[in-house]
Amino acid sequence: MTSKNRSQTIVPLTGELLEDLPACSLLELAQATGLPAETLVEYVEVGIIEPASGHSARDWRFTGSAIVRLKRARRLQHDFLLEPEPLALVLDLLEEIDDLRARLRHLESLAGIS
Amino acid sequence: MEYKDYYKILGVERTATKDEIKRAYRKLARKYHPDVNKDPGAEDKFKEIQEAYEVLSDEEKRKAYDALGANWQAGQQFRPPPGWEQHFDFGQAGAHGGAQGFDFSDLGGFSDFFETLFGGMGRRGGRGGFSGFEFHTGGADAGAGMRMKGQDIHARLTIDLADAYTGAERTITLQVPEHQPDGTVQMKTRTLTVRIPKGVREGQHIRLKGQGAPGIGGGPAGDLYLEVQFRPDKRFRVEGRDIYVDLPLAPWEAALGAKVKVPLPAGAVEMRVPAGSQCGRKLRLKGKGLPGNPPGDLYAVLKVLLPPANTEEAKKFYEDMKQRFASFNPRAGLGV
Repeated sequence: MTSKNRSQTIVPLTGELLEDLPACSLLELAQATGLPAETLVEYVEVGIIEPASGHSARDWRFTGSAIVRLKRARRLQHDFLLEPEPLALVLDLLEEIDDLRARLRHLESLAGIS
Repeated sequence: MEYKDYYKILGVERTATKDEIKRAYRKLARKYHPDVNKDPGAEDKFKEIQEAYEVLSDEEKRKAYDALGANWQAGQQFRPPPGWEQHFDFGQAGAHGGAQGFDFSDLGGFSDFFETLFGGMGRRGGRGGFSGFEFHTGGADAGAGMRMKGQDIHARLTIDLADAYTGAERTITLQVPEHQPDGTVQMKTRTLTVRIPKGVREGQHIRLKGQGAPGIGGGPAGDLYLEVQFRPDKRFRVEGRDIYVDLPLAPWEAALGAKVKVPLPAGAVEMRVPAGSQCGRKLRLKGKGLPGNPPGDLYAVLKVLLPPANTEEAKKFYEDMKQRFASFNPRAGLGV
């Protein structure tokens, strides 16, 4: 274990940027997240995730940001015992707050408020 | 080792009922959950709250904790009383089953105080990392002989804007939960050197496959997700791939035009300021924002700084200006 650790500190690890991953299919998303495809279909139905393109489950394509949103969704669901629909609402609201905060920061800095 | 006042952390009396403790915990957990609260201190606070709840919600642990007495002050140097281990035998704490509800333990695990008093007794949740998917992992009490994928681990990675601008390597230290053969979970420290991809933006995630918690029973290791945050920088603001920098100018530079140096997150460039530039004007340096396809732009926001009128000569100069610009009304736009 120790020698393994040591070698890990020497060779830098190269990761992948989730947000830049090529679009993936429902099955690939299921594989990447370990979630059953049926659960993902339900999540699409209630709006927890949204396919970037495609009209039916067979040709849905998801971007890496779906993985990010799914991970956040699973943490919130686990920690607050949320049903899918309120979970979708919470995710939307949290994202909106993130956007508003970012805009506020930007406007404050333009206005010279620190 | 410092004493921890778990009652104070949850904001309840020592006489609080189980329900009161649960309510206090849920309220604080909603407030400090790292997915809800992005403040840098929130994650530590959340961990502390979880630790307090872990002890006070468990009858045995609470009894043991109470037995230390009520006279300890938070932060006071603490040593467990002699015979502590023999006195309170918690046995199979894992028998509670995976904790339901809040269970978002931080990468750092619990405090030394907790580990000394209750370490080796297992945790009900046994969930390390602020991990997402756990269909494969269950709780700490994953039965022996099962083959499961290790947990995914989520951590925040704070980098300088310059690291994202040029790409970089950073060494990080993580606490990774490892399932022991007896079903308990131990936090192991792991050091990794990670390549920061050039052009990474705040809020993006770097996935390192197989760098999460080790698998159980020979299962594959989980993945490590690093959420990128930028260390606040006094000079630069970042908006998507665009970067904004305030560029102070002398009045004559703004009025007559000039070639001035503009700092970049790494290095600097020369930029031409056109004559007659007003304060607040944004000049764009195309493609000098965060690298990408397409790259962002860098905006220099002009700020005119006045030289101080602190000598006779300078005062005379301003007086002279006043005479020569007699018709200039800076408040014309205000109608006064």
